[in-house]
Amino acid sequence: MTSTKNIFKLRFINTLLFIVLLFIQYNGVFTLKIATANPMLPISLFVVICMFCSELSSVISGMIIGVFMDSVVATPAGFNAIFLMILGISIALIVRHLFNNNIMSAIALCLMSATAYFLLRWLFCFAFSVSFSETLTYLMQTAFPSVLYTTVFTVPFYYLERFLYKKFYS
Amino acid sequence: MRFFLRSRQFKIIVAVFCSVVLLTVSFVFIGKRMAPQTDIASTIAAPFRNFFTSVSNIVSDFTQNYNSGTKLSLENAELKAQIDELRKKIADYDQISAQNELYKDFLEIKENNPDFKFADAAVISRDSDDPYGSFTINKGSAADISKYDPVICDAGIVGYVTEVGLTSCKVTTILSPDITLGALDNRTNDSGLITGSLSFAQNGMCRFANLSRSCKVAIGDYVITSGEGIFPEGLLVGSVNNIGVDDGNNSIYAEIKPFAEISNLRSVMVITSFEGQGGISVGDGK
Repeated sequence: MTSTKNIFKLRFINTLLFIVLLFIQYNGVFTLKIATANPMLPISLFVVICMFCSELSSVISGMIIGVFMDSVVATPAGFNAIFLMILGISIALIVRHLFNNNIMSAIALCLMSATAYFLLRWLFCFAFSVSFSETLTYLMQTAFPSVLYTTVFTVPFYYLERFLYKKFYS
Repeated sequence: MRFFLRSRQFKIIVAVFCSVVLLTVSFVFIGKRMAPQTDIASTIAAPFRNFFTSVSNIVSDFTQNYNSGTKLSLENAELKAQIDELRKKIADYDQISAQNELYKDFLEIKENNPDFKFADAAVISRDSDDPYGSFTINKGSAADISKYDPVICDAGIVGYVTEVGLTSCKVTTILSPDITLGALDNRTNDSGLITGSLSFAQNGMCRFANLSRSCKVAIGDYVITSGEGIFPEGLLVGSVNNIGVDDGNNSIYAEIKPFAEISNLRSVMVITSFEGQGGISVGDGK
């Protein structure tokens, strides 16, 4: 039987994880960049958390994280909040009805989510503001390598989240 | 799935989603401020971001000092070689000195422009995925900052404010193609437009475009704002690094190395008010 206290503890730990990841992502001093590839750590963790959450929790956490991301990211207003809300409910539903909850699903979902994120970001921020060759350069040099790099972080996040889930929900 | 679509949970999700979308869309059309949910999040996160910025700056300073310590012996040898080189260069001292004076004059922006009102601000976060180096500063509408206010640093122009919250705002840099500002070659008075592009931004450069084919722009010239658009005139932009011909072969462009080190900025100044503000406005089409 899961107590409210345990649920609170798990959510508190996840919140702390997000704070640390958002700090690493947007501090401007430390960077995890390899050449032009820059991982979107919050997306990777969010995908994994949604795999263990209900639909409503996924949407609410997507909204909160997205709103905080929107306050620092140079994307159109509300882009991250709306994207993460849709992503959250999609992943929660996919895991409940289509996929098994395992590491391969996590990697596949993260790959799809990161691809969708970078493609949408490309569409809203670059596709119509720079030349065709430059948009292709962005896609090939930055977006797709970043998608792969983001997916790499799914593995540790998945096992961490599964460990926490088992610990607090057993 | 059908059960889920009929459930109370789904109705709550739809309600939350619609309210976020409505709020965002309505504030996008109003335009001048951040969406309220973003503004609230930004205000809540402000003290944490200030804290994390201080921590990261301390760590960054420490690592830089450590690295510089290990490099001291190497630098010593390099410096000896440089002394010889400098002896040769001393012949050009007069010319460099004159350039320095010119540069100093430009840096005394505030003294030369008593109509400028400034708000000092610190860079608190950076969008690491943005190739144009946009960032967030720790001052907002509470410090009289409004959308399209120019942002400068001691070295020159940095960009302009694109979204304003109560305690923070987002800055788009001159490396971005969203920006278009009138500029002049300081030596020849040739005029053109400063704008960004993805390929130039990757090297920390921007583009001084639309120069006439008869222009006399040369490598090493300083480029300053002309006063057209949202920036006051006479602000330093950068120096000409290279010159080329546009694709259509109709005009010349120059590659500009901004004086401001955009990727390493820690503090900036926002010009909240100046004479002639709100005149012709370019960039963003607004």
